[in-house]
Amino acid sequence: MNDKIVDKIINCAYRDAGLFTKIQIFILTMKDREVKELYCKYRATASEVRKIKEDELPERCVEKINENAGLKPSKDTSFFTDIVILFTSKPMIASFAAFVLLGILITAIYIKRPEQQIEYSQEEILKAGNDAKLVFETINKAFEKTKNEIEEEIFKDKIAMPLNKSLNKISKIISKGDIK
Amino acid sequence: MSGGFRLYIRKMIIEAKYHYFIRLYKNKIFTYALYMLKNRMDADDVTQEVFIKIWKNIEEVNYNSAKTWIIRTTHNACIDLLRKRGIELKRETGIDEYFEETYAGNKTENDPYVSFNMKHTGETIKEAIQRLPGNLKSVFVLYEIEELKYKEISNSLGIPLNSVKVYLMRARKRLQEELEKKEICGAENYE
Repeated sequence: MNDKIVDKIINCAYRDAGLFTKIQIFILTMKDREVKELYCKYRATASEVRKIKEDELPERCVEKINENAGLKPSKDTSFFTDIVILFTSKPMIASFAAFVLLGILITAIYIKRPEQQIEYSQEEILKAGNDAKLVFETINKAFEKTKNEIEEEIFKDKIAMPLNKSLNKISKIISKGDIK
Repeated sequence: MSGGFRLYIRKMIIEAKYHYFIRLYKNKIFTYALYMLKNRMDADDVTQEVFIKIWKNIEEVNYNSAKTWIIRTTHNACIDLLRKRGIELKRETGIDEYFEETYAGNKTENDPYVSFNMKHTGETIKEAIQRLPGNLKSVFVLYEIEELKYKEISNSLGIPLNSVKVYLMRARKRLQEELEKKEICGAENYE
């Protein structure tokens, strides 16, 4: 077992290895007992190391830190702080979010706006009624005139009388027996 | 009036930024200092010092590079404190003698029953990590416990990327050796 293999075993145990190395070591552990033992040892240590968490700074130290800067102690999480940090640390995301919010706001205001109602006075309504009446009377007169013209002049003079004359002539011709 | 209002807003933003850094990095700084100095009081002092430096440079500190800068400042503060106390960070070949001095009277260390049965538990591992030589310990703690990436560690400690990988590998091997030595000692004492 050379140094290179040992390094690969350690990397595998600490989950630092690539897929190819993992496969290689897996195959070796199946074949070689020594490799397997070494891998298990390092794997056990790596699991324990991974469980180690960061130590918590005592609260009195945090208060002292704020005192040194001349600040009031603040809560660990603050909505206001998060918003300020979002806008100052990630300006692109904040600008995009602001743009989207503005668009939604404008759209909402535009959709919800009340419809404009036009109000008319009593005189205007009466005047409009009279105007409409006048218009209908004019149209009626025009229709009447046209009807009279058709009945009296066109139908009587231009169609009925000449037709009557023609029919009388034909009747005379037939009665005299003048058909040769 | 508008000048005063702008100043007020600026002050609020700076304070929010500082509280954000406290929230995000207080435990990282304290943990790293604790491993390097092996003493809670010294770790407290270093944490205070680092946050004073952060406050003084709050406007210049960039969100993106804050982590690297803060870890570097913490590391330098630890080294300065160790130098002041005349303790040299041993190179990888040496055992950390300061550890022996600090933990000489530790009951757990001398109790063979406890030592043997604590075999690879959290406390044993922590003690073994603290025994590692300085430069290996820095890299190990930053990678495994603080969960920094190789590049971040390289920038924080000012060492090349390949050195980070080499130190990490050596730290893992040394840690395993320390644990096996302790197990053997524990077993012998128990008998």
